[in-house]
Amino acid sequence: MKPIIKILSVYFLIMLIFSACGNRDERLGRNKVNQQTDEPTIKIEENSPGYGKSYSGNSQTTSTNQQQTISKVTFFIENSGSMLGYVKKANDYKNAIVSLSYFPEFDNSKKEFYFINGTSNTTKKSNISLNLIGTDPELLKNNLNQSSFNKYGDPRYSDLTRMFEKALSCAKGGEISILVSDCIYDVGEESDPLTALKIETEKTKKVFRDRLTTENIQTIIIKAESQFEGNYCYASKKGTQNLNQKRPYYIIIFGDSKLLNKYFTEENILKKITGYVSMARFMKIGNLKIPYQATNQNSKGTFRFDKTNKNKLINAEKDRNGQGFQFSIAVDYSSLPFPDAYYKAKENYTPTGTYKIIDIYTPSKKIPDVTTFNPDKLITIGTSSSPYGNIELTLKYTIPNWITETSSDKESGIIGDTKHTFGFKYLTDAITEAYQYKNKQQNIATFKFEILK
Amino acid sequence: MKDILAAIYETMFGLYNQAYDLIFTTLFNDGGYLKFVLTWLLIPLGCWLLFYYVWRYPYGRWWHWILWLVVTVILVFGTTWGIANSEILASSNQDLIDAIADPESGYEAYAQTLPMKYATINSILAVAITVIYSFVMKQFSKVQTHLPF
Repeated sequence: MKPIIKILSVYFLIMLIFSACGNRDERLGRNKVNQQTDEPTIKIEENSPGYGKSYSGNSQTTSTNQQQTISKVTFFIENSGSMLGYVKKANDYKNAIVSLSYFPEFDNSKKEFYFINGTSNTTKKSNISLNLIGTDPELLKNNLNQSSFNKYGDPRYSDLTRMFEKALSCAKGGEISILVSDCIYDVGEESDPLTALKIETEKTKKVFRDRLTTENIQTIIIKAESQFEGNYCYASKKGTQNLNQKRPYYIIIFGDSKLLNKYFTEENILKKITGYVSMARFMKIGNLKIPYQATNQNSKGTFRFDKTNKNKLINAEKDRNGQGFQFSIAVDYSSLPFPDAYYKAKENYTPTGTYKIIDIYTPSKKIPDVTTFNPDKLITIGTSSSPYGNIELTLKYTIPNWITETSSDKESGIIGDTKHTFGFKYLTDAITEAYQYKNKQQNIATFKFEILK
Repeated sequence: MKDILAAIYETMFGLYNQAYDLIFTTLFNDGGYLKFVLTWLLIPLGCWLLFYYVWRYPYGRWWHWILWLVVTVILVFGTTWGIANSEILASSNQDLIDAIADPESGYEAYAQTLPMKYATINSILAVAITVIYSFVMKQFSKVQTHLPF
C-alpha cells in the first residue's frame, strides 16, 4: 500500500496548490481589470435573438451618427389674420415661441425666422408669402405683435399644405424646422367645408409622402394653449367672432428622427413651452432593434431557459397550485423617444394567444440574469391556459387620444371652447396615413418567445 | 454534448432553479459541467486502476474494497466541491460576480449551497461507476480477481 499512500499524498498536495491558486479575491481583482480592458469591445449583435424589431432611421443612420447636433433651425410663424389674437398682448404664445427660439439646444445652431401666410389657391388673388424676419431671436421677439403680423405678406389667407411643404423642405440632415400655426385649414367659403377639408388634406398627405420617400423625417406636434384676444376667423363659413379666451395652437417640429429623439423629449418640451398641453410623434418605423429577454421575475410555474436562447423556455409547466404560467420580459426602451407612460400602458401591447399582460413596471434593482443590456421595463405576461407555443408580444404604434379629442367638425360653439380645433383630425389623419404608407411595419417592437414542454 | 452533461445535473438530479439561471448558464458556458463529469469518471478510474493493477497484496478482503471506495468517494467529493466552489463562487463571469455581490439578489446564499449538492451528486455517481469499473477491471487483474466478490 505504501506507493499508493505516496501517490495519494502527491494528489492532495496538487489539489491544495490548485485550490490556493484559485483564490477568489485574486480572481475578482483580475476580473475587474479584464472588465475595464474588455468593456469597449463589448458589442450586441443586432441580429441575434432577443431584439424586438422597432422604429428607426434606416436611410440616414450613418449621416446622423456622425452629425448628432442641430446645425440649423428654421422657424415658420404663421401670420395670417386668424393668428392675430395670439399676439395682441404678452401671453403664453409669445412666451413659448421666444423660449423655443432661445432653446439651449439651438445655441450653436444657425437660426432663421420667417413669417408665412398667403395661399397658392389660384382662385384667390394671393401667393404664398415667406418673409425672413431675421436670424436673431431678439428680432423675432420684437416682431411678435399685430402690426408686424399685418405688415408681412397677405394675412387674409393661410395655406397649411404649402406651409408644411416649406417646413418639410427645410428639414434635412442636421437641419430642423419649426412651424407655429393654429392648424386650421383655410378651405374658403365652400358649401361643404368638410369635403373641402378632406380634399385639402389629401394634398398634405402627398407632401408628407414625397418628403418621407427620401428622408427619415420625424414630425412632432405639440399642442399648447394661450390667451387669444381678437377675431376668430371661421374656416367653415364666412365671418369672424371676437374672442377673449384661451385657444389652442400648435408647434410642429420636423427633423431627422434621431435628432428629434435626442433633443425633443417630452420632459424637455414640457419644461420649456409655457402652456404645453400634449404632444405626438409621427415617424417611420424601421429595423432598429429593441433588446429584450425573458426573465424569471414574477414567474409562476416552472421552466428552464434554453442555454443558447434565453427567449426559449423549455420544460415549461403551469403552477401546481393552479396559478397558471407567468414570466417577465426585460426590455430596454432607452433608444425610443416615447414618454414612460406609453411603455407602461397595457393597452399599447398585444400579446398573442391566451397570454395577458399582468404588469408593466420599471425594475428597481438590477436583474442578474439580464447581462447584455440594462432593462428599463419589466413586462409580466401570463396565462391560465396552455402556455406552450410561439408567443409574440407587440408594442403598438398608437396615436394619442388627445388628437381625436382635440378635433371638432363644428365651429358653432367656438365661444368658450378652449380645447378644440376645427378639422384637426383631418390634418393628423393625413400625417398618420402618410407615415403608415411609408412604414414597413405598424408596430414599434415585437418580442418573440418559444415556450416548450 | 454540453446539453447532455448539463441535463445530468439540471434535469436528472433536478438542481436547476430558474431564479438563479445565471449560475447554471455560467457552469454551462465555462465548462463546469464537463469538469464535474470528468471528476466522477476519471478519479474513480485512477483509483481503481491502482487498486486492481498496482496494489499487489494477494490477501485483499472485501473491506479493503470498501475502504478504497470510501477513499475514492472522498476524493471525488472534495474535488467536485473545489471545482464547484471555483466555478460558481470564484467565477470569472463578471455578471455572476456582480449578482453574488448584490445582497438583494439572493445569489450568494443560494450559490453557497451548490458546491455541497454537486459534491454529493458526484459522490453518488462515483459509487455507481466504481461498481462498473470493478466488475470490468477484476476480469483483467492478476491479483484482485476476487474483489469485491
